[in-house]
Amino acid sequence: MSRMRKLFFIDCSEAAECCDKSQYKEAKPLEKMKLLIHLTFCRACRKFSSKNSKLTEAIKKSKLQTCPEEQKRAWRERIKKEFAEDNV
Amino acid sequence: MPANELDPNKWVDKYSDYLFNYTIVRVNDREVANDLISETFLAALKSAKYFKGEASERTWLISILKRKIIDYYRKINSRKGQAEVKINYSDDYNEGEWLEEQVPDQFDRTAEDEMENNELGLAILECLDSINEKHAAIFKRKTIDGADTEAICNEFNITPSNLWVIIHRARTALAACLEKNWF
Repeated sequence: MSRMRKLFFIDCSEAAECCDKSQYKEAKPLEKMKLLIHLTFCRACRKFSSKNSKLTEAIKKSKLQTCPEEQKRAWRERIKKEFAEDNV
Repeated sequence: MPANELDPNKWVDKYSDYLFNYTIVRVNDREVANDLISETFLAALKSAKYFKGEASERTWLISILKRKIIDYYRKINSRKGQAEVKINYSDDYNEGEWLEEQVPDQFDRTAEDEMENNELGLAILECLDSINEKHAAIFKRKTIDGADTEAICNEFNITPSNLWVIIHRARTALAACLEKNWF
């Protein structure tokens, strides 16, 4: 039984990690199963899991984009230069 | 002493993604958006001495950017000459079609949704301000850019388990912040 427990029962922090990974589709099948088992008896993690999915949904909906790093570098240099000149 | 001070060397790291997402839904062209943001940064530097510290840096930059966006539309409008006004009138031949043209456009509803989703995105970026800068950067690489775990670990010189701890903290903080300010 104890070996079985180790295989299928995880604590909340491990469950949280599985839950985070599954938000990025990076949880392995066994991790997903352990998470599901944990969720059946842990109310706190169920709550966390639903919030976590809601967040993923919100981020997807928002269609956020980041600026490419080259563009940022160009801006940084420009600001640094102009700022230095202004302060001379 | 003013409540808020300007720190131009941090503008790009702190606000460029925010300004970009604000602009892109309004002009719908990456290059134009980047140009407008460049202009905004330069104008902000020039008028930095007039910044009173009453608003936050972000609010102040956005107010400059808004003017730049308006100027941009003025400019392309005057280039066109005059605004075109399309008048439709019905004649016997087209009878019936006229009614169809008056039906509310499904497209408009989408535009409204897009705007709301954009605001949600900006709220997310604002919430990310409250967490550690490096953690926010890692979270953005992972969640917005969708970068590989391995690539991010190399980039920031951390282990995968470090990464998941950081992601977990960021997600928890973000969920709490959004719950308070958005949902």
